[in-house]
Order: sequence, then structure tokens, then C-alpha cells
Amino acid sequence: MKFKLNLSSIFSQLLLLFFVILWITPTFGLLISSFRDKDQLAISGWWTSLIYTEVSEIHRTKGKNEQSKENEVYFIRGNLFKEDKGKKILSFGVTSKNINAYMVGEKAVLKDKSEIVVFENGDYEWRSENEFKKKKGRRIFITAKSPPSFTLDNYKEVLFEAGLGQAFLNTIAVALPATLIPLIICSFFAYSLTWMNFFGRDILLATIIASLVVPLQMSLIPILTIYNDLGALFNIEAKSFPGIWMAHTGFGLASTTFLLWNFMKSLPNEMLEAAKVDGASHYDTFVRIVIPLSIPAFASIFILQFLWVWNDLLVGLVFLDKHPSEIILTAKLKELLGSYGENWEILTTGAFISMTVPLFIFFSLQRFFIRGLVAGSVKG
Amino acid sequence: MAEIQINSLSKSFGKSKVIKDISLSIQSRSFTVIVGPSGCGKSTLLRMIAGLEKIDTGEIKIAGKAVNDLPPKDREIAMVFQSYALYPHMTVFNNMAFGLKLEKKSKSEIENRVKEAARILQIENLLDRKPKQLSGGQRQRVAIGRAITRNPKVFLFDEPLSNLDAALRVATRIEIANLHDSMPDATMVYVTHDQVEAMTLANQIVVLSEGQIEQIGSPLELYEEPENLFVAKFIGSPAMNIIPIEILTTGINPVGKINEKIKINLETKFSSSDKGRELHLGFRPENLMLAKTDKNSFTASVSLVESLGEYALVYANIKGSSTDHNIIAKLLGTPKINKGDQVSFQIQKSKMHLFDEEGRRYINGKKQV
Repeated sequence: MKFKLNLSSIFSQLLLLFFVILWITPTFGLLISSFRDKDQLAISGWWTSLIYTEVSEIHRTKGKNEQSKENEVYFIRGNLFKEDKGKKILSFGVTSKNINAYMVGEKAVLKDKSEIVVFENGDYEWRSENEFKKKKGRRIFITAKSPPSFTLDNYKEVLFEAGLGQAFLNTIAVALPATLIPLIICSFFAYSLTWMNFFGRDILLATIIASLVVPLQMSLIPILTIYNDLGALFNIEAKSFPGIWMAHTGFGLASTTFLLWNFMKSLPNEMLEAAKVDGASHYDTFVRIVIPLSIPAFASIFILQFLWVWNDLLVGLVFLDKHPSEIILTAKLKELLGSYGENWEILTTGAFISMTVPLFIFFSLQRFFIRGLVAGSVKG
Repeated sequence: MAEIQINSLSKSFGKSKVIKDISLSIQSRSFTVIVGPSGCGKSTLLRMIAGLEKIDTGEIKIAGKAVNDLPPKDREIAMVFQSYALYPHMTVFNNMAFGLKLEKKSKSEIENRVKEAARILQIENLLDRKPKQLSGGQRQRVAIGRAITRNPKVFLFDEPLSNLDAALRVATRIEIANLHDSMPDATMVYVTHDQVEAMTLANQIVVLSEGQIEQIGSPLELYEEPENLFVAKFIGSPAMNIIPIEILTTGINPVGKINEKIKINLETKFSSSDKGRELHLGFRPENLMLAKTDKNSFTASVSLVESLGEYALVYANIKGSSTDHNIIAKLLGTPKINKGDQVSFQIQKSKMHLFDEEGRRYINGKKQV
């Protein structure tokens, strides 16, 4: 392998690196955050969790019942940490006013002349000439270095307790048909726009392109009204899965048709004429030649439409109820987030769960992006 | 057995008339080449025979049946396209079997016919490959094979060799000629802008220019007796030399004047009224020779010599009465002529062509079509 080093290639590589970092960093942060303890999440950034962090904690020693007597001196011994989490104590204090008063291993002398020593691993020794009288132990303030700690609790909570799992399934139930239906309809449509001559074809095409600029929000409510009226006519509830499938299909129709039309137009004209001479009807040509050659276009349009539907909140809110059986992921996340936006662990975890599917779709469809599928048909 | 009859066919795209009232009859089992410069409407004519282009007015009959409103598949034709137009996602076998599969032929029949076509074209070892794994010549053979398997009455070729390199073009041209011999029942219509292909393949050539037929005839007829200036210049390489000539005297020994100094004897019989007419004298480069005598010769100054060993092309110019005229002479061997020389030429006897003011072949007394 020979690498050509020139200024523009270095520049483009650096630019690429820059954008990769720009994109990866927040995603990575989201991933880390979703595995962090929710209390830690609230007070420190995700990057601090990768290294030892300083935490301040309050612990209590054991009381008089645990004391032992050796050579006329009373001792209370024990470990401040209930379970060993690998924390290392740096300093400690005995009053809330000065929590860093003593270094580890230093003797803290209390008012009653008793002495406390705290060691790095949490062991302590409380020594006194007089018998301990208090039933409750003493509060010790420590500053410790804490190792990175991660937990699956957030996922457990979000998926099984908060009802995000059901919302996840609901979104799949919305997104798959809402992607496949327009793709099927539009592939027929795009073929006829490209390769069939009929009256008003150009006007139809112009209308489609024009409708690309109409914002979705504008037509949302009129369409819902129509749905309601239609639903009432047949005594069906307007807000239902078929309803939202139709809505997404309608909103995706123009762009999907346009993209497919654009692709099919680029197929070599003579190849389709050859099929015609070979005796292929329009349907044969479409099924046996155009569809197999359009797979890269289908894959990219599938990804686009799927992502759009998957990340959609507005259409889902308008065309679906907030029942647990119907609510979609984005709406559920918004609900879980709380009105003050305080449940960060739910947000990060939920966001990451909702990200996995588009990522999966993207990587599994990637192999269909074959360059030069039409190579070999005509002189290139 | 399928003759093609074309009656006063016209076609226009928008305002431009591409085919202007063409009538043409193509014999069954013939190899007809439609030739003409680019933009002359030859491909459009072929596509109208194929049914890929709508007919504005006129009629096309294949095997006695009007096909104006028939789709391509019902015309019993097969077409080979300039750009091969293979189906890139199918193997060679499936490319060739596509039409048969659509006809719902039995599996064994499809296999037999594809294998037979592959055998004729010697592509049996390529049947499992995809088009992109083939070279240009192999792709064009597959395209021809696709036409053969359907066993049509009429083969239509739309400049099938123009995408191939020179050596391959010659080889494939010979294969197409052989193909016609091995399928004597098929009528072949072949469109090209290359007059060498036309001359070598055809038994009938149709010269087309600006949507009109200039001449129909066998290759040698076109070469030896071009009906007009267009055909005269188009057929033959290098092209025929054309210089204006004024008729000085008519009668038994007519004389024409090229300029004040050059007067040559003509062999055509003129009527006395032709005296003083400005005609066009045509003669092919190979019919020019170095003058052995002064009689009937003319002098030209050489501007360039291309020596090819077998023959040399000598570019020279003669002073005309108003402008200079460039001529090309094709001399056998390696003549000792250099740039700047003044050379005396003679035109071979009975190889002169005369065209009238409108560019039509001069007719008077001489046998004419």
C-alpha cells in the first residue's frame, strides 16, 4: 500500500476526523451516562465517571454496643463502607464545618479526648480512655476517590418499569408499515412517471415536486379532521395504527416518489427498450428489471423514511392516543422526562434505546449500497 | 421470409422533421444497411421498424402485415443496441433467456435455444458470468445472442460496432457477416454511420441524409455510379474529389475548363445547349495517376504526402478560376513526391463523374437509372 501524502488529502482526512469526533463524542457520552448511577449523573459530567472521582460522603461509626476494652482503653473498630466498592479515602473530618480536617492516618482528637484514626480503605479505630456512652456512633465526613461504577439499573427501570418497552414495540408497529407502504406505492408510481407515457404526466410530476415544499404541520389538523369524520362515518376510532400509517404514507409520498423517480430516470433507456423488444410488459420490466436494479435506492429511501418516522413526535402525538398500548417512544420519553426535565437517567437511557434501532437498520442495510449495480449493461 | 415495406413514412420530434416521406422496400433475406451521417434519421427509422418510436404518418409492413400499431414483441423482430443494453443483474444465460421466459417456453427449450445461440457466437463458457465481467466485444456478442435466441424474422442492428475498438470492430463485423450466412432466412437491417461497414456487410445500401433517401443500391452501384454529390462524397474513403468545371465545347470531343490553363477532355456526350454550363467533375483519389504524357493532364502543387507503404495519399491543390481546389490522389507504392512539388496528374479514363448544378448525376445520352 502506498499512501499519497499531499496537502489536500491530509486536510480532508483531518476534516473527516474532526466530524467523526464531533459526532461520536455526544453519542459516547450518552452511552456512558445511560449506565451511570442516577445520583452521580445529576452532579457530575459523564467524562468524570471514566476515571477516579472525588466524592464526599457521610458515614457513621458503630455505637457503644460494639466497643471492646483492651488494657483499660476502650476501642470501637470497624469499616465505614458497608460494602467494598474500592473507594480510597483521602481525608476526613468529624464536624460538618470542616470535613477535610484530617489526612488519612492522622489522629483526630475529639472534645472528650477520644481519638479517631481513619485509614485509606475505610477502616477506623476510635480510642478512648473512658467508656463509650452513646448508643449511636459518631458521624464521620470523608472525602474519597471513587472508581468508575456503572449500573444496568437505568435500563431495567426504563424498559420494564417505566413502560418504555411497550412504547418501543408500538413505535416499531408504526414505523415498519409507515416505511414499507410508501416505498411500495411510490416504486410503482415512480416507474410510471419515468417510463410510461400518459396524459398529464408532467403536471403530476410538477405537483409532486411542488408538494415537497408544503410543511407537514400545515396539513396535520385538516387531515385529522378528515380522519375523525371518516372514522365517525364507519364508527371506527380515528386515532389508530392504520390512521398513522396512512398519515406517514401521505407525508412521505412526495419525497419518496421524487427520490425514486430521480433514480429510475438514470437507468439506461436502451436497457428498458431491449426488454420491451424482448416482449416484456411494463409489469415484467418493473418487477424483473427495474426493482432489482433499484435496490440501493430502496435501501437509502427506507433508511430516510424509517428514521423520519422513528424520530417523529408530532404526527405520533396527533394521530395516536396516549394509551400505553398506543403511545410511541418519543412521546413516552417526553412524558417520562417530567415537567422539569429532572429525570436525566431516563432521558439518556431512553435516548440510547431509541437510537439502537436506527443504527441497526443503517448497518444492516448498508450492504445494499452497492456502487455500480448497473455496470455492464451499457458502455460506460 | 419477411420483407419490409415502408410507405411514405414521416416522423417529427416537435418542430423538426426527422423522417421526410420515406418509401423503401427491404427484400426478404437481404442484408440492408442504412447509412448516413449522424442526425440523418437512420436510427429513428430503425426504431420505427422496431416499434420503439411512434409513426406519425405512413405505414410499415413486415411480412405483408401492417405493424404500425403492434408493440415490438408482436413484430417478430429482435434488436441489437449500440450500447449493448444488457440486463446487468442477470447472468449471460438469463440475459439470453429473458425473452423466452416471458414467452413461457419450456425449460428444456429455453436451454436448447440459449445453448445453440451461445454455440454460434462461441460464448458457451461465459453463460454463468454477469455482464460487468465481460469485455466490450463479449458483451456485444451476448446482445446479439439475445436477439438470436428469440428466432426472429427480422434482425435490427443499431450501430452495434460503434462502441468497440478498431480491431474488435473488424472481427465482429466478420462475425455478423457470417451470422447472416448461417441464418439465411433472416432479414437483417443494419444502421451505421461507417461506410466501410456498409460496403462490406450489405447487399443493399440505403443512403440517408436529413431524413430523405439519397440512393438505394448495391455497394458497388453506389461506389461506381453515385446518383448525386452527397452519395459521391459519402461513399468511399478518402472521399471523391469534386471540382467545378465549365463546359467549353460540346460535340465529339467535348472539353471542360477547370481554370485558364487547365482544360481537359471529357468523355460524356453533351447536347449543344450545355455549352458554358458550370458542372461538377468528380473523380476518386485512386483514379488519379501521375501523367505520362502532357495530353489531358493538369498540374497541382503538393501540400502534403502521407506515405503508407502500400499506397501514398497525396494532397494537392489546383488553381481554380476563382478559388483553389484541394484534391487527394491515392498512388500505389511509394511515389517520389515531396511537399511543394509541382506534379502532373491524369484522370483515369471513364472514371469521371459529372454532376449538374443541383448536385444530381449529369444525364444526357449516357445510360442512367
